[in-house]
Amino acid sequence: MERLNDILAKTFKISPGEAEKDLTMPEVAGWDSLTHMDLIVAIEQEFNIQLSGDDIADMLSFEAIRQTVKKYLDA
Amino acid sequence: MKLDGARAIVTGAGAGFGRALTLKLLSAGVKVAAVDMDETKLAELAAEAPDVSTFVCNVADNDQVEKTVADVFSAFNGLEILVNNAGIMKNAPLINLLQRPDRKHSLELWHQVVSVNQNSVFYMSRAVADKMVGARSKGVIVNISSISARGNIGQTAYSATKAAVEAMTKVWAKELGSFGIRAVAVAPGFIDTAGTAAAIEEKMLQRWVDQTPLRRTGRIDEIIATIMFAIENDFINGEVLSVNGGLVL
Repeated sequence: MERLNDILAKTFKISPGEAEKDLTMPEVAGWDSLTHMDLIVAIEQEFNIQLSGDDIADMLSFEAIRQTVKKYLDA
Repeated sequence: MKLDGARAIVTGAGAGFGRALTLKLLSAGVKVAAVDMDETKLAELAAEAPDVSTFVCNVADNDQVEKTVADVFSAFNGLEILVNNAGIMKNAPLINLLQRPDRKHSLELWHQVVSVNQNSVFYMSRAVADKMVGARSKGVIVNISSISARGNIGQTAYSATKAAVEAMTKVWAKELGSFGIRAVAVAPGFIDTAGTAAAIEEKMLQRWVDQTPLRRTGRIDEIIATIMFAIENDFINGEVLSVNGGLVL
């Protein structure tokens, strides 16, 4: 998940330490519908996966993002 | 243009730029028809400025615009200044991945923004210009654009309408110039108004401020001064006056 934390830190311009926490969308200053698009593209390119629309819409916390990415990688 | 004794219509006069501009014009001796769809706000304005003439009108409705313009010309016996200020700011990305079940930009929102920001300027300007040309009277149309006309992320509808407003300004400057009617646009950047606060999240606004060389939002009085300059300088025509602290250079 280190690669995922790097993406979170880079996308939301937060420290690596912050990226390791379970922050929710309202708790991250730079997280809105526009940066969410950047996040999804970065994740899909990094892990070579294609997330479903429902999964994308449910990824509203760092923990949800980690669980979702893990689900795709384990599949 | 000599302001004392001139006659003006200001749309969206109930709040923000429109209200401040109305008070400024009145203080300069201009007879002002304050146009707004909010009767309560117009009443509050009239309570503060008894000299103002108020007209309740939804400028996105052409029938109401035609009637209001006729009423103003009848009351004022002419007009030299039109300021198309009424507008709304709505934010939405073209595709919102977080929005279910339909991720696409709302059609309703699109039509609403186009009606209020773009159609209203067209309706009001054609009605006023027709009467100005008919009377062979000189004048100026000032359209309020926005820095968003250059294409702000998350503002498809708002940006499109403001770009349209700037295009109409340039067309009318060319078409009406021979009649002595000027058209000028004023394009504010991010200004400290209630409308801005309501439309833009604080964290997003802070990002824009951080990118502004002057590191602050603009003030309403700084926009009003620019509108007054556009009205008074008889050789400005077809220009877009940007007031954004250097955000776009």
